[in-house]
Amino acid sequence: MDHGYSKYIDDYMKGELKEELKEELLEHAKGCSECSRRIKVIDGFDREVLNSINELPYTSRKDEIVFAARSSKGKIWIESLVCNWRRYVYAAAAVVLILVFALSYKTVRNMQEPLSGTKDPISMVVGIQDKYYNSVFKHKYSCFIIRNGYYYAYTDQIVGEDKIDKLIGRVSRTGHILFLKDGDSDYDTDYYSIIGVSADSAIAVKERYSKSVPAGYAVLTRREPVEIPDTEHIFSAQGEPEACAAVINNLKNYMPYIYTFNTDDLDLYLVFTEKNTNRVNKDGDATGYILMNYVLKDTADKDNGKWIYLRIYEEEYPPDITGSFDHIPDKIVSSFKLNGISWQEYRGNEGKYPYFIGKKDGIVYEVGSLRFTSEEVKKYLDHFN
Amino acid sequence: LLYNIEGTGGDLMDDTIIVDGLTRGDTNSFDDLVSVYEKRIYSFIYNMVHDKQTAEDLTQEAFIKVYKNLRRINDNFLLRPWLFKIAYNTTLNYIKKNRLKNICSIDENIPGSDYIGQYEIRHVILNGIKSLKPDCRAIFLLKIVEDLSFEQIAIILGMSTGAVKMKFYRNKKDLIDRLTESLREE
Repeated sequence: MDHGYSKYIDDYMKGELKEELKEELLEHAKGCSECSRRIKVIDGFDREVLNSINELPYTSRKDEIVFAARSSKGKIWIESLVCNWRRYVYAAAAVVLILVFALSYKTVRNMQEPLSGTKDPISMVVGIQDKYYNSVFKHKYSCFIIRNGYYYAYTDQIVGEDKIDKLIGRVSRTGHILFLKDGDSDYDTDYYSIIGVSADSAIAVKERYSKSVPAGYAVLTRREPVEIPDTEHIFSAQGEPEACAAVINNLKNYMPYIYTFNTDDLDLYLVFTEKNTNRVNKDGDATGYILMNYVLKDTADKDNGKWIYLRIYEEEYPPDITGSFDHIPDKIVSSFKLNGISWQEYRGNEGKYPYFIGKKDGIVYEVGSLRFTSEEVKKYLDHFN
Repeated sequence: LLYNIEGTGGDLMDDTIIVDGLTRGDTNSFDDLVSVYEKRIYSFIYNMVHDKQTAEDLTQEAFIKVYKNLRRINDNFLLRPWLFKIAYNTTLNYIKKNRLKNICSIDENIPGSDYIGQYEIRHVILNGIKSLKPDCRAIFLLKIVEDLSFEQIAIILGMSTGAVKMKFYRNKKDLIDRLTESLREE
């Protein structure tokens, strides 16, 4: 039907055709069998639909439905009773656990006090890191995307592609992240807005689940703002400046003599404590060391960047010489003293990059480097305190 | 807020009385609600799943959900969109759970195909509706049978009003084309 009245017919079907145009269309239909047929169908359409689908055999089941609904209420009451009963047990268990935790925490705190500033803290720190490590990176949701400072958490709802509006972002970081920021997620994906739904309330990602879930886009709804993480017990961090700074603060509680590079030229990229292999102290506790990796500020390509590796440990319990701390031990290049630390300069195992060992009050500061010159590292050692 | 949108159609007077009773905690009001809506909810669900026993079970399940959520009802509550949203979600869950992508088989052979006219029109309409996706089928039923506004249907189905309108008119036009075609052959 291409005689110019298609649009009129469409509007007529929608009930949106203006009165004067309707008259024109009806006049035209008198001489046009196609339009006449179509108008006839449109006029009778709703009635025919009703006639077609309303003829259903149905016997009222009102009493049965009401009874089932009211019985379910009884069920709810019983379920609630059972749930509450369970809740009481869980609450009691939780109280016991909290008490145990509080007591053990207090014990640890009491133990740490006399250690501050003494020569044994590193093994203590190693033990504490083990204690808290698994709880540090637990966030409120296990499947989420962070957007505008809020968690967007997965729901069971799946929408089809026809409901997807447009791409609004891409996950920028995944993994163990303590300080969550916009674009962080536990899953690398693009995310989209949904037609008719403000992105401030929900977004969607291409669904990632098993074959048993219908194909489409999983809906994530906005939940709580991102929490401020509890950094009191973190003893390792990587790639997050705030977290690294918090770790250093925590470490200094145990080792006031821990030194760092205080220069704007270097970014602290990684800090953690590590157990020595098969080495225990006189009390039978694991011994360990602190490791810090610094990278030249604003290095985009970290794989080819300039790095400084720092390792701190008690002289009495030296760790194995591995990786970044390999050096040629029988060839001292230079010796000097800076900020009360006695330094000896060596060359890395390949004879290429400078390597330093500093000692002060029974603590060893080991400094390896990659792609830095000896002069550059010495310049940074001047700011090591 | 969702169910306070002004809409057309429906036994608003009945609804007002029922809502009033339910907010006052009148236990008989639920009986009234079932009386008024039982067949309509069943009809809606039946036309979604096209199986009598399933429709009866889902109707009962929907009303149980309604009963469990009666406390959500307050003054000026628009009962009908809420009921149909529950019915739709219950049905959709069933369809998803049972992976019923093609829950309705289309009758390719018209029984007694020498009949023309009214029978054929109904056959085309029924098969046309049966062949729609669940959300489009729900739009048809809620618009034509329940006479709900596009805004209310959008809330029930969780989509935008524009999308509801677009789907409705696109499918309606398709059906009208097919009906016009059958009239031409006649």
